[in-house]
Amino acid sequence: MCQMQPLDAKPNIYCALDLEIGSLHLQFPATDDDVSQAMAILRQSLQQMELAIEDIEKAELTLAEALNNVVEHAVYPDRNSQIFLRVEREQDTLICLIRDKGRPLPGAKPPVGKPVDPNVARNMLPEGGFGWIMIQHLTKSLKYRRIKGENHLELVMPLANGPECPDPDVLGPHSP
Amino acid sequence: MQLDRQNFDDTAVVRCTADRLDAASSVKFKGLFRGVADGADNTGTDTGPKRFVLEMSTVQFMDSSGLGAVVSVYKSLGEGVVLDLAGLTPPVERVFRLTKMDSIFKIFASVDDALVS
Repeated sequence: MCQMQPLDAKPNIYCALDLEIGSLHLQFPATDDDVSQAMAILRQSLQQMELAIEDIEKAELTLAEALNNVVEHAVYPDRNSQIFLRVEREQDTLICLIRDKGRPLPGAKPPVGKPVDPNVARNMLPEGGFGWIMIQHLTKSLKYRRIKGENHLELVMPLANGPECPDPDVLGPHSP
Repeated sequence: MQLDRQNFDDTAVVRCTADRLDAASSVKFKGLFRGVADGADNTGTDTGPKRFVLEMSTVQFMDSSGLGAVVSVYKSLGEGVVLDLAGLTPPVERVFRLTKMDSIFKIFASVDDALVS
């Protein structure tokens, strides 16, 4: 594991990329802008790990949604709170861990995203609530634990064009 | 991020030039869209265009906040005014598909396709 270093161009963000074992560690403040910049580093790092473009896109979307949730709900309004992200490639999966010191997830488990009903009236269309739906579609395992005042969210994603849930009515592998 | 509007008869094409439409930029997107849409009265009266086409071919990443912003501007156009989408990249199209919001919007490969339809 290489030492975490602040990036020259983005001193807020600490990064360690180990291409030998296929791992990326990032630490950054819990703000929208830092998440956005961390995702740019994630994309570059996964390119260097030679993941397929579609896998990179799905990983970025899944992690961005989970990280946005931390910024908007767990730690808000503490903009100095730090988020830790670890991404490890293991054969045909990407195993990701997000840690933060924010408030626990309600019910101590990831919420089940409610499918959007596209038949509602225009002015009743939802403008949010899409994040967990997409996380559920794009992960094959999603585990939450509260450990010593920290949230630990582990997301496992299939690689190399693994199956997406074909029908968004079916809530993916996490529904009871 | 930049939004530019061009009018073609009854259709206003709004090109969104940005590489990301995410939590960090969705508020800006909504403000810019309202700015270009307000060039005419779009509240369903006779003067405004009846249709907007949002062109997004430079956008390589959109998250649920970005999707929420697109839904928000669609709602703000008001009943009777259509919002179609054009030039979606695969990662953006995926977000519409996974959330079923691709059933709300007509999606065209390009602005040209949208204008001949």
